[in-house]
Amino acid sequence: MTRREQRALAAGFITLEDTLHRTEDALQNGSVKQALSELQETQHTVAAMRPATIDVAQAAVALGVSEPTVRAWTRRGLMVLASEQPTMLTFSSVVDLRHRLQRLRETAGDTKRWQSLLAAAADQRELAEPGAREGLADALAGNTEPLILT
Amino acid sequence: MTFTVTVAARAKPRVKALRGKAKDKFAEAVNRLKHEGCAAGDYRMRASDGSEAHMCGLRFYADWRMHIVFAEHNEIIVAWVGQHNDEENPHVDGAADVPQLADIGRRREDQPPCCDEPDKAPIDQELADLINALRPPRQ
Repeated sequence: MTRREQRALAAGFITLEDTLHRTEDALQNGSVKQALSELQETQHTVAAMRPATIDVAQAAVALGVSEPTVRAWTRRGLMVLASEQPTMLTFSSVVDLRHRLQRLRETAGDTKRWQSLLAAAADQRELAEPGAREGLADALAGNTEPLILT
Repeated sequence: MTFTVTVAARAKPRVKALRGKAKDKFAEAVNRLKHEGCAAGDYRMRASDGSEAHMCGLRFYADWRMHIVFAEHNEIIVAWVGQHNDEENPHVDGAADVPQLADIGRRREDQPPCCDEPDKAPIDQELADLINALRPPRQ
């Protein structure tokens, strides 16, 4: 890290400390609106501070999975590769996947919603087979022909 | 009650291309549909096109399946015929690292029967896409 980057990071943390204190004050005073405003500023500060890329080991910790899983998921397009040597992923793609995984894990705790979601995902996989959506569109439009079995 | 079974225009070539055992079993399945209607279908599907279509999947031979749509006037339309193997092993390629994903490889028998009404709760499409993206590739 260069001295300039170090200064920018320190300045960012000072801003974060300030906004967190102001948020705490606002909440203690019962001003939810002010607290939300401070939180938004915190988000801007964090966005400005966050790195552009993240390595596989860090991504694995952030996602709660193993490094081979991170590599496998990256090959499948779930995260965006920023560089190959060394392997670096875009920070935003890892954070986005982390949020979606959190939602998925929360949903898994609700048996009914989870079963429904799994069923819908399975149906969509079947409808992704070549010709399946076209056939459904024809069926719904009444574009049908007699079925003659010989 | 009997049903008329027709085929979607763009699915017709697939039906004509069936050969051997798959063709014989397809004919048997169609015959059951004519006499039993939705009771002959295996599992209820969401059409996922915004419609309230009564759509089902039917396994007729090995990994051969057809999609059927129930229309008015006791018409059953074969919308698709093809092979679909949904028995991928969830415990490969790192998917088992996410505990909940073990459920993703569950069997089709857990799906609602064809004659049932589907769950009408809205589906979080982003999560459905994520599940399919996380699934291990076919072996």
